[in-house]
Amino acid sequence: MTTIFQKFAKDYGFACFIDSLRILPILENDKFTFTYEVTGFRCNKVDKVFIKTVSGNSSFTDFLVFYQETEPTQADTPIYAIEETKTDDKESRNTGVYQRCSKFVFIKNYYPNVRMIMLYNLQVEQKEKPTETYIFGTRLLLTLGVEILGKKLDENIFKPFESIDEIIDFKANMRKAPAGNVPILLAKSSNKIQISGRLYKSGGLSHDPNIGALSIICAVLRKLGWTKKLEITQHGLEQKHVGKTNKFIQIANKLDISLQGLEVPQAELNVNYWEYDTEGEKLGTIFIHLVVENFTQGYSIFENHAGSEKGYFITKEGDAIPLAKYKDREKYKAGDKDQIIHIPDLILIDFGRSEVINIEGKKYKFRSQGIAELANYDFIEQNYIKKYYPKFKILRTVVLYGSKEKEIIEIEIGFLLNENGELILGIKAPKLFQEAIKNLIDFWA
Amino acid sequence: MKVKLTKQNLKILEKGFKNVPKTYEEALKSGKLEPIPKGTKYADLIKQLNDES
Repeated sequence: MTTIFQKFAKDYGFACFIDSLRILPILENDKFTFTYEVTGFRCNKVDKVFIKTVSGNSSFTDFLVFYQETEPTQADTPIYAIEETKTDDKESRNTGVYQRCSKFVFIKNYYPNVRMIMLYNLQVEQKEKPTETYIFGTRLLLTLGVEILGKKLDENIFKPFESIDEIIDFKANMRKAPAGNVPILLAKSSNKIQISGRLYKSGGLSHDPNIGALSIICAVLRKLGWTKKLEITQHGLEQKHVGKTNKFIQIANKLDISLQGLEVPQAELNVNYWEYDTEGEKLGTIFIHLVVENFTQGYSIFENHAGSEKGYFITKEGDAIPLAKYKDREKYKAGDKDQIIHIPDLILIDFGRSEVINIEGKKYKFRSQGIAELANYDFIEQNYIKKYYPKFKILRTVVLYGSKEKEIIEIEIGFLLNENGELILGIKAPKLFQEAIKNLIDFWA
Repeated sequence: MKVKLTKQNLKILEKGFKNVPKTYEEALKSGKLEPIPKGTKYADLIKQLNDES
């Protein structure tokens, strides 16, 4: 958030001051309004800053920033569309930079003039030489007009492409794909540019890294003035795989991309790019997380709210450490679900009471599943938490969002945030939750 | 379903957790904010922030 505020202040030429930023849930009549207020940012041109949780209907960036008096509606245009990543080149290698590209191409369907930002949240300088793929992807982003924040880039390497031929030459000189893979290569003739790349995966048009790569390559070719045919070859698709609601098809319509041997259908684009989230389980876990951190001495030692990027630990030195989701990713991809390592959505530590609380987030209607999930935490508790927090008691609890229920029967459920914003503690809610909710209500009383 | 205790799994978990703060003081030093003091009202907090500026 600090980086976003700094960017805003610089772009608009406003004098702004940033203290310790807090995200506070706003209550009215003891009910959560589903709006958070950010404190610690002061600017005479900005009265208040609010955050609301939204969800996208398709390929959606992580944040939309609106600068206006009233709560954003679909009719409003954001000033920034921001994609945040905690993943650096070393981890994501070839796919990370591309996977996010399609979002920036896609958003142009709705907000053609929005300022697009790729925000790196690691804030660490790359020690290794960036990969060719990373350089290529980043230069494409820059050419498309995406600004890179939170990461130092060598301006001699990372600069926008200036011509179509420069892109074709750069790609042709990159290290070739392993034998058996379809390389992404561009072939230009007088009336068309053909780009090879596999789009088929898992029974459909779902090869995300290549969807991203081909989307941005085509978008950039259009931006640099190519008006003739753009054709994807060696895509591996059949006509039945090409649905009119697929995000790549929507992009293909927008950019007039054809698929060799297939007919690209007329896409059906959702009317709205985003909507206020009124369903996600994360509404519950994010709420309890922020309330605990603001109003108790409790603290999150791990977070992986639903739909969020894979969890990381931030060290005291500011380093991010990834936690794998699978014992063997390839086996998992091949269908072996036993490869999943079960990790809670949120782990809170209550220093005052020497308790560690493992939290499973769920929608109210899936509460039974949530309770069942608690049984999977033996491994992480036995092999880590008890080792690093030997004197801490370990609790397991479920945090729910949804329904209009006003009480919780199941003892395994610690907290329910219902659709009306009512805050309902479980019969055996952790003391940390009880303290947090009480202090929050007092704060707004 | 339970995850088997293998060396590989332990390694994954070790790596993930090795630097998390073990005490409240460590947590604060790692950059987390002090909680809002008990009894503070919203208006108090905003006034305090404005007074500091």
